[in-house]
Amino acid sequence: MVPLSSYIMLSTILFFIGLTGVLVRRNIIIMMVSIEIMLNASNLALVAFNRFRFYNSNDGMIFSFLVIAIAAAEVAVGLAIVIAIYRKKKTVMIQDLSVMKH
Amino acid sequence: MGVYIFYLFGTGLIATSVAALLMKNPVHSVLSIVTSFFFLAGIYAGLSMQFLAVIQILVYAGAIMVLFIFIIMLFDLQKSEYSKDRFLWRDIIPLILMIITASGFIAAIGRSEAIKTYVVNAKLPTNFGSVNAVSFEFFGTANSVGRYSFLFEMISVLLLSAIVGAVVLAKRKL
Repeated sequence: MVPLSSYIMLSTILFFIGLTGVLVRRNIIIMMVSIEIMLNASNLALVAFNRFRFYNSNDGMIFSFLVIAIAAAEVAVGLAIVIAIYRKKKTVMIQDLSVMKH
Repeated sequence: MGVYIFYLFGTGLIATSVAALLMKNPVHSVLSIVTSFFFLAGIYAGLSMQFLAVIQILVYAGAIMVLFIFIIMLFDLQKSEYSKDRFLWRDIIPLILMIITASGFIAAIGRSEAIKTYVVNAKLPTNFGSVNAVSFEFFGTANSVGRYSFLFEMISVLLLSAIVGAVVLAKRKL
C-alpha cells in the first residue's frame, strides 16, 4: 500500500506550487487561485494523518470541512475586493496597483 | 491496484496545478484547477473519505471555483491586459528558492522513519469518513451535543459576516 510519507510529499509539492504561483504571477485572480491550491494541500495533509495515524476519530475530516468553509468566506470577500479595485483602476494586475509606493 | 490509482491521481493533480500557473488566460487557469480538484477528490476517496470527496467536488469545484469564473466573466479583460502578466527574469529567484525549499522538505519527509512506518490499517471503524460520523461530531445525538457543535455554529457566523462584508465591499456607493 501507499505509505503516509507519499501523501505528505504530495501535499508538500502542492503547497509549494501554490506558493510559487503567489510569488511569480501578477494577476490577482490567479494569485487567489494559488491560495486555494495551498489550502487544498493543507486539507490533504490533515486527511492523510487522520486516515493513517488517528483512524479512530474523524477530526482531520472535520477540520477539512472547516477549511473549505473558510475558503468560501475568503473567496467571497477577496473577489469583492478585486471587483472594487477593478471598478476604480480598470485593471487586475498588481504592478498597476502600487498606490502605497508613491 | 490502489498504488497505481494513487500515482495516477497524484501525477494528474500536480500536472493540472502546474498547468494552472502556466496559463495566460485566467479562465483556462481556473478550469485547470477544477480538474485538479477532481483528482484530489479521487485521492480522498482512496483514503476512504467518501463524504469529503463528494463535498470537494460539489462545494469546492462546483461552487467556489464557478464563483471565480463568474467574476472573471464580469471583468471583460482584453488580450493586451493578459500580456502584462509575463515571466520576467527576476522571477527566476523565487522559483529557484521554492524548488530548493520544497526539495529540502521532501528529503526530510523521505528520511523520516516516524512517518514511513505508518501504513493503511485494515480494520477501520465501520462509519469512518461517512455522513453518519460527521453528523455525530457536528450535531450530536438526541440527548447529547456533538464535540464540534459550537465550531459549526461559529462557522455559520463567519459565513454570515463574509456575506455582509462582500456585499458592502462590492457595492458601488454605500
